[in-house]
Amino acid sequence: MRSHHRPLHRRILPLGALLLPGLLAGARTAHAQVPPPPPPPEVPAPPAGPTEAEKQAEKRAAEMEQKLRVLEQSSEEMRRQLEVLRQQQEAAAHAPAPPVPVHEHPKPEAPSSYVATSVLGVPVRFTGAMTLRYDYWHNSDLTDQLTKNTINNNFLQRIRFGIEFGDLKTAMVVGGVRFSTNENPNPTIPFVFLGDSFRSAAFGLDQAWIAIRPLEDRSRIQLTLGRMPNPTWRGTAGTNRTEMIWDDDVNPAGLALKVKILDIPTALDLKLENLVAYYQVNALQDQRFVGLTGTTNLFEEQLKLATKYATGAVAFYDWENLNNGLSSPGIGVGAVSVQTPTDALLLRPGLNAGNSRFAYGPQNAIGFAKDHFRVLNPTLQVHVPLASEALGNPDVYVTGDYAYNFSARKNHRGGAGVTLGTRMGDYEPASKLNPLNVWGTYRYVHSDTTVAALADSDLGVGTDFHGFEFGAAYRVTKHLWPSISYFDYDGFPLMSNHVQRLFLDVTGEF
Amino acid sequence: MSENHTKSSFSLLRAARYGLVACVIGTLGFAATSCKEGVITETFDDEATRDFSGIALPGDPSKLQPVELHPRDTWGVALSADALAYPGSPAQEQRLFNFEDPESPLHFFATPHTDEEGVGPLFNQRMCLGCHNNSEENRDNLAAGATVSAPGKINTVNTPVSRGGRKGNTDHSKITKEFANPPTVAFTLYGDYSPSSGQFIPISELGGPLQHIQAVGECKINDYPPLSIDPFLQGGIDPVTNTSTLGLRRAKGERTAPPYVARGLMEAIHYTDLLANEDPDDHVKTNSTLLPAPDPAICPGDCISGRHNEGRASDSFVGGDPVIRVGRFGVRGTGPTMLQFDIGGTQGEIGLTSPFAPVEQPNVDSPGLFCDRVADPEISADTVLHLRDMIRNISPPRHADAFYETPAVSQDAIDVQAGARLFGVDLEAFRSRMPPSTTPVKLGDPDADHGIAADRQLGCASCHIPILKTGQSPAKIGGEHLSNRWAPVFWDGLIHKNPELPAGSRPDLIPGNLSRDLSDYAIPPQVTGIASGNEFRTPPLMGLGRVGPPFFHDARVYLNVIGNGSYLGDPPQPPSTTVFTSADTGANVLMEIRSVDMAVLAAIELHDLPAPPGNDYKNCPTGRGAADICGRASPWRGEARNTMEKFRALTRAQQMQVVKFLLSL
Repeated sequence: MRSHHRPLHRRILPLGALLLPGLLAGARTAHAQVPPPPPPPEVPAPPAGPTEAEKQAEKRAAEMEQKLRVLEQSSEEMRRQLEVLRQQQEAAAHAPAPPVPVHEHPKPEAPSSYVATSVLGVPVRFTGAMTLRYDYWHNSDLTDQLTKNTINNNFLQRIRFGIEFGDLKTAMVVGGVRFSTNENPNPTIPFVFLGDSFRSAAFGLDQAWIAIRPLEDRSRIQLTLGRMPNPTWRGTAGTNRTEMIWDDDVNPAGLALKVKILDIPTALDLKLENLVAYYQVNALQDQRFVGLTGTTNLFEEQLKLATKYATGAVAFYDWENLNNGLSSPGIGVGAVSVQTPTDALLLRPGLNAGNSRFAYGPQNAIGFAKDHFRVLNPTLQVHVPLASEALGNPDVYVTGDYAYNFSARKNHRGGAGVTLGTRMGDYEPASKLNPLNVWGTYRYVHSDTTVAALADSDLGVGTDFHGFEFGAAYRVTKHLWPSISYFDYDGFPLMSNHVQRLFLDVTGEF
Repeated sequence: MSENHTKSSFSLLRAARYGLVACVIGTLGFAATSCKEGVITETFDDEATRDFSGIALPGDPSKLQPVELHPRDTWGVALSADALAYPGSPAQEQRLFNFEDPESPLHFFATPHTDEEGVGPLFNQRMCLGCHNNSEENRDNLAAGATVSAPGKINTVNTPVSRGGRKGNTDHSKITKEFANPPTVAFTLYGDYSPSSGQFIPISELGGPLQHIQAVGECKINDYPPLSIDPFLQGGIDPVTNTSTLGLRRAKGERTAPPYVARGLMEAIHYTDLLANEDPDDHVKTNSTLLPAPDPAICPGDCISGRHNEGRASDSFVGGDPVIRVGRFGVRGTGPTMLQFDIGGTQGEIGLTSPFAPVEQPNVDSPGLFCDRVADPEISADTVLHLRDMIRNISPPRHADAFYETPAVSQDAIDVQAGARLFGVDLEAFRSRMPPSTTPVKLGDPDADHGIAADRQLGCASCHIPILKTGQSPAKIGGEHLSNRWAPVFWDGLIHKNPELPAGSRPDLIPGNLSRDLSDYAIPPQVTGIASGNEFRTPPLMGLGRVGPPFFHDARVYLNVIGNGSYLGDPPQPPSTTVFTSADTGANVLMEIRSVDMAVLAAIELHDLPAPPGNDYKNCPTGRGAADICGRASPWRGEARNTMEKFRALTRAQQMQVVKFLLSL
């Protein structure tokens, strides 16, 4: 919905124009940027030598000049501030409409305005989003856990609150923190059930990061530190990102360096970017008699080539020490360990499942077959703009995603997915629709295609599944958008668990 | 701006209108449908229809009809529907038995599985059929001269109606990974037992309670742990108390697979029909014209008591019924479901994990070795469920013609029917409830409905009840063959006290290589329920004359005239031997078991401790007190004590009539 008010700077400038002449009245000298004062009134010729009256007049003139200088300085400051405001409002007016996120929390984009400054004078922007979801989740319940085959048939809620520091367009150092419900114990699930006798929902720190952009072109090099929004490119067009490797709600923690190698606007807007990242996934203190300890690491390298109509990227993920936390104590004659067996951290209950589970004797703790995954992940997205003002010049896109784990066993190592969608409608008068997104996704993901714990929590809930998803989202206003998603897949274990799931979401963003 | 405003307003109004309607419908819908579930006190009635509970519902007496018995000649002769399924079963059931179909449960049952499929890391067999192997052992023995009297006709092809075989006694110290356990496919349970508290410690630290004698890759097998390394037996065993300083002693017992005959019928019997035959305090006095009568100073009734066992399937598999129910399956009748035994077999014996049992067996002897390189679960839930469906739909065989010959003219018919009467069968009542008859005689009379004669004679039929009626089967496939039937099970589903030798006694003083001790205190709670170590469930006798030996839960009564099945370097296995008693051949005569008939006779003989010297209790040594294993009042004799007194008072010819009757089943 559009604003009917005039921009702020246009409302303030006329006010200044009214006030300034009055303030400047009586000044003897003119400033180049100040309107000339009215001519002085006719007076009799003064006697020779300074008279008392002349001395008084000079004194008044000096005082007036002093006041005028002060006023000039005030005026200059006001003009400067008004100019900043004007630029910001123009930037806001010309900025493209933000994409309609569906599964993804809004990324820290360039803020259109700042409502406050920090004690260090850094602009601060607040963001907030609340999603109410009705989740109907039906499965085969292979082992009949007395659930009537229904996992969820309830309302859930996701609440997020974020603060971003620094002007993303200009500042060398920017940062952000974000709080979210849930994501514990499963980092891919930020929703909590409504209810609990109206007790308050627990919040956790979802993101806390800083980004250093040392070059004048801030987008050229960016080093991000901390628990950050996922910097991996997973699609641009439409509202969906491929989640075969990364669930949208996962915020990796570590260091990520993104470098824009090429930027040639004249060549179909060609851009070449490279991302190198190191994430610390789990860390256990080295200690004897607790099994495998140390750090589970993820090294990521992604090279992305973007053009006006197609964008492709190839990522390589190297997961190391996946069996961190695995302990299967042995008991020998005369030496009895009281230690209980423990599974690898990434295979423990509470996380998404689907990875192959291997029993490690003597007590059959569960671990990965190999201690590392090395995954190649090419992704390609093609989008075709269609000319139809009535439909908001829709954009049809297809996203293909493939992953191959060199470390996994035959028939368990590959996965592929494809999404076909369209983004149509906008807020322009000619469009009969507000922004509307419709998409369908199919994926076939073998058990060890990637680490299931961090993969899509909606379609497949990890790995070891094949099935599809259909969804649509519509912006009723810029701040309110309902959406619907339906999932149908055969999932873990052994792709034998038939799951049907329906989301009805309403999201408000602020 | 104004256009945009109009459009936005229109969209907003339209959305608001739709939203309002959706809210109203949604609110009403949720209010009506999703606000309340469950009841305050669960009665489990609904759970009875749950597939994993496998609980029979009450039947409809007006619909009772004979079971469709499988033609005797073709029963169990091959791995096919023609040999195993109910006659006239529809295609859906036939497919369960299509061995040629790799997806069929029979194919799964009878095909060796590989390491790549997930066998191991420790296991006992590579396929289900590996534990059902007695038919081919019998084939070899029959070919080598072992005999069987008519109407016995023993199957010679291993199928699911074969049982676990044996060729000799197990020597646990000679089991190796390379040669496994040559005399038998029986598996061993072990642990430490406290006689004072009844506690059983499965010593999983030492690989218990289930021993595995084969392993994949470089993994070691699970050696039976010597007492010296047992942390609960440190300090040795006191020769007086027969326990360690902690009050524990080692308990060990073997088990073999039963023949899967008509399990669906046994499952379909409503639990109240099992409980109706309980007599825990031996109040029931049955009528018998055979002597001696029970001594009222020893037995208030007929000496046969019997009580139900109970268990909770959730103790045995993920998704099991969390309700304690009357059990019926397993050697102690603990299991309320068939499914838990499929899971126990696939995971416990073969090492194939499933969603019902997703974790491998303990593997304590191979620390640091990664042997089983197949991810868990290794088989699907459907594989296990289909296996159950197949076993459920295996039919019982028709009894031998000699049993139905009316009047009995042939010698076989005369013997079989005389044996049946000695057993306690009401022939007329029984036959009238079997096909092709459609008019049960004395319908509604409890004994007649059970096929039990008013004169129970030996009283075998008190436990081996010839007929139980089924209720509504829980089977989704084949339920029509199983519901509301007169099931000729020769079984009561109850546990009974068996003869036992006290700890520290000298079993070697009883001649023969068959143990006469039918107690076993390897009693993991999930497979023991409320039973004591000396209580076992009555085995069904369906198909006995086709399945043949060995007999008993551990196949201890075996037939081996070939001498094969020896450990490496050992001499040929001797035939099994024990002492027999009859009125005309004397008391406690040691005999070798070289025929199927003798094996059946031995199985009967083992129902109690041996007869007293000269078959006269006056000859028993006195002053033995609680250690007395000879006297009529010995606490170590079993519930069949009076039945066996009667049996031992018969001539050998009469005894063999009972044997022939059993071979007609």
